[in-house]
Amino acid sequence: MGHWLIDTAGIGSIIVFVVGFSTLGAYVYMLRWIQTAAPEPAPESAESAIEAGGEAA
Amino acid sequence: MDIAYRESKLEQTVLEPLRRTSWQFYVVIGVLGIVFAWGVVLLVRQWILGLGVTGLGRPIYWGIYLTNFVFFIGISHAGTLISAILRVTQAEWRRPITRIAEAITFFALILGLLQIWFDMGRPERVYYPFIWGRFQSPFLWDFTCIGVYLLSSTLYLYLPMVPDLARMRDHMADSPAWRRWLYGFLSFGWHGGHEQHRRLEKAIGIMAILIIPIAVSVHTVVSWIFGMTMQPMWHSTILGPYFVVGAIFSGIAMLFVFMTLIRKAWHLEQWIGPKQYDYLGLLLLVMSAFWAYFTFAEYLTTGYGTLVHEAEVLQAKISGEYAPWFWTMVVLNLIVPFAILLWRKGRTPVGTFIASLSIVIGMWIERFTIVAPSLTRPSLGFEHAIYAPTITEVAITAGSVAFFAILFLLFFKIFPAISVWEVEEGEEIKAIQRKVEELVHQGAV
Repeated sequence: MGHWLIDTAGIGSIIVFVVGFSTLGAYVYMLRWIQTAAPEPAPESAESAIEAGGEAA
Repeated sequence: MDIAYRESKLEQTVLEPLRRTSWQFYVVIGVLGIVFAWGVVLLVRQWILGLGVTGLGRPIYWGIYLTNFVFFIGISHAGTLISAILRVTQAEWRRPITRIAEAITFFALILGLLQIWFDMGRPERVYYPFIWGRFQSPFLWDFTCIGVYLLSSTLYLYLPMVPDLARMRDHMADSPAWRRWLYGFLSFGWHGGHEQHRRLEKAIGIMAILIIPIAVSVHTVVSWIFGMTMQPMWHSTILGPYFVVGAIFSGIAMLFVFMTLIRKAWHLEQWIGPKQYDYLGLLLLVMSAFWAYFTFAEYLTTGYGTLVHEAEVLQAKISGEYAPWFWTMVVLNLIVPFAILLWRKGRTPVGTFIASLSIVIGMWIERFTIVAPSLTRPSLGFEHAIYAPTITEVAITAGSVAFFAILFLLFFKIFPAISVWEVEEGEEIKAIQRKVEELVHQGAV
């Protein structure tokens, strides 16, 4: 069983593809994870802060 | 251009070579281009006429191309191990040099893989490992490991570049349209928010840890291409660690060479300074000692054992036709580095450049003395052979080195040679540390 896995032409290529594409997939996922990080909320301007404070009062 | 934004001195210096090109740069590229073209012409000639135009033949199946392959894969350990290990150990002095190291890794891997293609008598069959690969073959282990390493090194080069790419996207409105498009595309919507920075630093940290065992596995598997055969002085258990140590050694040396050249050409003296040369010089000295230890262990074991076929190869290296190569290697890899780097006065840009150049040449010779002599004394009873590289092999080697240099220079004509955001982050950390020390000194804490 072990010999068949190692010696058959083409099986090695499948292993290479599996390892290669898994690695590539993981790295693409990592990049997407960074890309989709939420930006900082926009800072309130002084006027909108005063208006919000007035409405609350 | 955002007129409210003012570039720091670091940014101005680092981005200056991207904005302006000196006539010296064109001259250097021109000379390298001629050498590269020479290599290409002779490579095409080799493809048309076959490998008979080289010095390769029965029983010397591997020669300069395999030497170059092992050499380039070896120096690819520069970026990974220097950048990754220094990042993991939080050595702050690494900040200005990590990008140069990571770029060396990336381009050295590409050049290393090309050497295999040049060595093929049937280059059109280069895709066969994708179809007919057998995992019994160390070549396929090599293919897998180098493939994963190439992917990992690409990401590890790219990730720390993203904030700088975004900075150039936003603040280099005076650059050509294709460049602005490139920076925009590669910065993939980077907005620099706190969460995004956190995720980026975490990803870089993960890659730094992952890439160390990948790099070690790559050069171990490269050594097994030799070690798994029954050739005299190849079939050795020490070959794996020996190759890894040699790779780190030659990688640091190559980093020194390129770091010094870029520092001079791009005027980065303020950021790549005495500390980098002092600490890396000590590391190079330690690696020289390690390399010497492994070489001594390998040759002592072989010499003491006196297996007939191995003794013949050993004799060829120590006192035979390969003796000039062997002893030159010892001088370049051990005597010269120790003579220069043992004293602090030697660990200057000029001193370390000379020592590093010596090591780079010495390590190429080391790869050659591993590959060629064993094949000239085959175990199967052939007469001793002589390997004489032809002008074709010399031209392709020179062309490969020129191509490596061209890729490296062009890369740093488009992207900054120093990681601006990381150096700025380091300076902020230093400023905070100085402030804390002041407060402690004043008795406030």
